Amino acid sequence: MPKRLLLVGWDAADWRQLQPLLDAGKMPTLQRLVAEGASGPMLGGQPLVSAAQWTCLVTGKRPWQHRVCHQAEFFPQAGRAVPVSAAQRQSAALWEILMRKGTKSLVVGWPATHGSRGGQVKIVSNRYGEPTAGPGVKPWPPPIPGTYSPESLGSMLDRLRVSPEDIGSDLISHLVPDWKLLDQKRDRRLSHLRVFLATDLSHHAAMLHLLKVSDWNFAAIHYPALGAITAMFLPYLAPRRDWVSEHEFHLYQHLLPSTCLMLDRLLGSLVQAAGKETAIAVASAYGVSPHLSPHYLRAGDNDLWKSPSGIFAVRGPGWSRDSLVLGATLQDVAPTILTWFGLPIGDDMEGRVLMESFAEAPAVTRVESWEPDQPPTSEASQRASNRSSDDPAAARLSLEYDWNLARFALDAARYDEALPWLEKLFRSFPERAEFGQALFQCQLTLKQTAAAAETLGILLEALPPGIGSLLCRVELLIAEGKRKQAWPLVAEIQRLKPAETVSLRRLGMILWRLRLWNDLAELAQEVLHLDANEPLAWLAQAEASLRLGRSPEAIEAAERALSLNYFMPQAHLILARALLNQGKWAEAREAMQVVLRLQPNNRAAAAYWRRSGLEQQPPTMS
Amino acid sequence: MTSSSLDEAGAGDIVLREPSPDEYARVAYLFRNRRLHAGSRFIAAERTHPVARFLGAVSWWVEDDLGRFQLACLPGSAQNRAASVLVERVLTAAREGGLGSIQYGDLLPDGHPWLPVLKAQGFERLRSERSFKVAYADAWKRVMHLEEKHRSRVPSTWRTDAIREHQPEAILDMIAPYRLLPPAEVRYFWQDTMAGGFDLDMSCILFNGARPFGAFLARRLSDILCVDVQVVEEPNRWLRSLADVCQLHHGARRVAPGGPIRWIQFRSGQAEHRQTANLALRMGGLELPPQHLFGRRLEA
Repeated sequence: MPKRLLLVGWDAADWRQLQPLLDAGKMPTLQRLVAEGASGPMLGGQPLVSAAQWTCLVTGKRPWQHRVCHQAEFFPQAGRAVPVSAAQRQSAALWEILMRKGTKSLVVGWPATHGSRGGQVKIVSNRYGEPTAGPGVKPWPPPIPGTYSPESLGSMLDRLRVSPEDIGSDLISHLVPDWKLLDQKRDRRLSHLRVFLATDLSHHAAMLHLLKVSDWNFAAIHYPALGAITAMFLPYLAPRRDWVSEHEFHLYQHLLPSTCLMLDRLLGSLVQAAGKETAIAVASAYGVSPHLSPHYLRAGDNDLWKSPSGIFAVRGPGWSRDSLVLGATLQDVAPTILTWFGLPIGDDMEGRVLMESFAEAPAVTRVESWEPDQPPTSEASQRASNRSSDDPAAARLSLEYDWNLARFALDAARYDEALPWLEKLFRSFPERAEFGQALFQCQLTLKQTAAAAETLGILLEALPPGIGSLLCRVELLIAEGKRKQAWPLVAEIQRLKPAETVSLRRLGMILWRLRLWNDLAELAQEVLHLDANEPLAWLAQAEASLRLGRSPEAIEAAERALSLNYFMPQAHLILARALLNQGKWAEAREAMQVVLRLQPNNRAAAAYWRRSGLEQQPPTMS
Repeated sequence: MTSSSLDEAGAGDIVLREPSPDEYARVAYLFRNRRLHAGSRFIAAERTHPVARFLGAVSWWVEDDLGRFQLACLPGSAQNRAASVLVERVLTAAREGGLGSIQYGDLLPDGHPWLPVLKAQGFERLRSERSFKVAYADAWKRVMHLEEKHRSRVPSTWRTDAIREHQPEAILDMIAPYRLLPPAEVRYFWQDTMAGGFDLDMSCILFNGARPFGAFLARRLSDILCVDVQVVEEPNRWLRSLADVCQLHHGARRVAPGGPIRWIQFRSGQAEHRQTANLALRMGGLELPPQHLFGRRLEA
């Protein structure tokens, strides 16, 4: 029987939220997936644009490659922004790659799929659940053109769409038990909740139907509701914050956990419909920030509550059982799934195959690229030309798109690629200090010191006097090798006592580079006093302690940093050095092996590996 | 107004000109979080080397014989220089237009960076206003507590509607006696697309059945919620306080503390609006240094 894999995407699923529910046995389907499969955290990139992250997951590419960099695109016929469509995507998705080898796929609700033309792939776009009429109109008008590929799907799927009015009191009672106490004229969030739930249930109904009636090998479904509900109701998650009224806390405190339970039940029915020989993967492209600053209750208009740490779990034929996968990123999912299907991965895919998630190490084969040679379709070209529209809304969207694109490139350490975009942004809108800041930092990283100095000259006109401008000036002086001139400015920054996270981080980097270890240790202590769970502060504490000859403290701090964020090769390296200082060769070797596994191309680590003698017993690479 | 170099004026490499339509977004960015007057004209101060950028801009408009303007500059190293040349230019424009006097469009507190620039150009203080600042978290807790405590006493016929659901005409007559905002400005800041206008969800009208008897109009400027209008027409003192709580609760329900709003600021005339001043003080507010209107007469 040909292999089958069902990929399920949950927005904003986070192990911190899920683990207590798993421990309590309330999510049996996910529990089974974890117990009988491979699972772990999955790291996304910045900025946390949902459509971009989900597209990374199915293309194995970063946003600067696949070009889905914004939630929206401008639709000139309507003169407004609409959810980003398939025309924007410039990289092949898993289902397109699989299709070339004759593998049939089903896709429902996946971001940036509207307007797809799928060939053998049956696609129901992420706009399937969008209401097409107001309350009371039955039956609903069909979804907007571009929702189905092939269009004939509409004849069987139109009627399966769930309207917010169909969300009955039984489901609402499950999520908000005391909803009858709500004054719905004043608090309209219950109507929003119905819309979110209707979207998930529409996607679910369509996928269930397609699973039953179609011949398929790969299926992917996206459930956005948990993300939308989290954005709106996160402040009500227990324990109660002192600024949340008891009345509202009582009403909404169970909503997020109950939504997770609902998703688990939906997952259960999908697993059943897919058949027991089907491999099941559940992923979340981003999670929820543990340091939530409570904000606008009707949120959803910013990404401050998100964290780049999502989830990944996979079970079924060929996958390992009860194993922990560490260091997974969004870009790893596509090459891993291609390998499971026995297909080569593209050399232009940045991710790795998650070998540790397989029951037996598979043969990894490669091709140069899965991207088609032909130029973008006429529709894609049309979209691209829309970006030069005269409409101010289009211009605003285009600017934000370019800014996201540049930040995605910076996040991927692709400074060379980011530089021209940042230069363009800076020249087109030099008044926005964040553009100048990013360009300045990029130029410094690329050692373009003279250009950075010129940028700073302009940037200082846009930055108010104070910590921000002083940090830039010090960073330039260090890059120019004028360290002594930097010291008085550093003292001035310290006197002004920076409080913002970004400023503290930059000051930490400056102290590190100036090798002011006592000051770095002091700064790390200050930050940890404010937030004992800040991994970078523990990292700084570890490095400073090591440099000050306090290896036991360095080990403790490095381990603490790694317990908070395992994906910090620098912390593993400090740990290895400190352990070696203590004569703990075996543990040091183990720590170095992790560094080289996380960052095979880390030259400094490789050099230390050779220099320290740890290399004499080669690392076991999994 | 035409483009001109200011070499003679000693401003060196700064050029003053009207921005073109495709540069409007950049000029508007300088004025972000500020309410701009409808129909105002702009003059921008630009440096062109090595990258053309606006150091600041002035927005100015005419009301009968009076010219009014607002100034916005990048906050960095060229702020004072740009501000000086822009004020000088707007004075020239006002004289050329035959205006009798000119005023700065907003109230400015003591210590504001524009004060030395304006004073150097002959501007004087014309009048002052009191204002009160309350930490949003403190006000929020107090309002939520009061609302929970008195919820059962709120008459069942009362309700608050976000102003998004109504037209400004619903309250113009009611707020007119308080001289808080002229009707034209109320209408202007009521628009959905108005940057720096009223927050259409936090601002509300208080109804008793179909009759409006209270209005709460506020703008969000940076991390401050500026309450421009806080009016309740109710003779009974206790019911008036209850109505205040209902209006404040309307906004508080929508924005939690710890988020984008850190302060609430209430305006109050020097003598009038004692009700607003008392309300602010009861919520633990502090009276801020007074803010002043600056202006000057223009010689023919």
